[in-house]
Amino acid sequence: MSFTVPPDPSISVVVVDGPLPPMAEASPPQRSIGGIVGSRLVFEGIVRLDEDGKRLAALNYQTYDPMAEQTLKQLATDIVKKFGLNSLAVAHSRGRVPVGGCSLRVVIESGHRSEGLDAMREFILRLKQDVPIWKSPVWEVP
Amino acid sequence: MIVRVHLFGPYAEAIGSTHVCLEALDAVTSEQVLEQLGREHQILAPLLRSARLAVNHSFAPPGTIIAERDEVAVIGMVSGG
Repeated sequence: MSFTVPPDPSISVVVVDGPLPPMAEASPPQRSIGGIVGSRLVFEGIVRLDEDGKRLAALNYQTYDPMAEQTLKQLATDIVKKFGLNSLAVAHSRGRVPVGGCSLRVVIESGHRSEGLDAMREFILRLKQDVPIWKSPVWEVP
Repeated sequence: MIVRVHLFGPYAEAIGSTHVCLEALDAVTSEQVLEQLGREHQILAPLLRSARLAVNHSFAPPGTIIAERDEVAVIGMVSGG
């Protein structure tokens, strides 16, 4: 299946220290204005309480700067082009994110849900293969 | 020449350092750097099978020649998200 790339797709990439702010405080995507967007998907990665049966206090994210942000931007550009998205915004944490905190947020807008869902899946899979970000557990002290 | 290789995540944990320095021949390739790294630091060898080199913040295509002042990093087994 091929898609037509909108004339001016919006791409936003940020790497921020600590947990991501709640969605209400994040900048909303802009392409929903004008009636060309029929689907908006939001994915949030949240730090779980347990990992392999052990209790976590937090995850610590290490980024290789500036390659992490550059690779995210290239990946976002590839995905927008491949799936003909109207917008893709991604934010990823650097440093300590406590249990319950949001460490990854991806917002995708597209004409229809099908390409948005496919794009979201591929973007996250490739992020986990290619973007130089590593997480390490911070265990809860009993 | 000396090639300084940056390490992150499980690579840095395995070796207990965030970088290693290799004494390499001039015109060494990215593949040769990975091979030499595995030979000189055998604890890294199993981890390097799925690793790629980044040179100056971009993934190095096969056959990339490394210069002494290039910033070289091992990228593999990433775990973002």
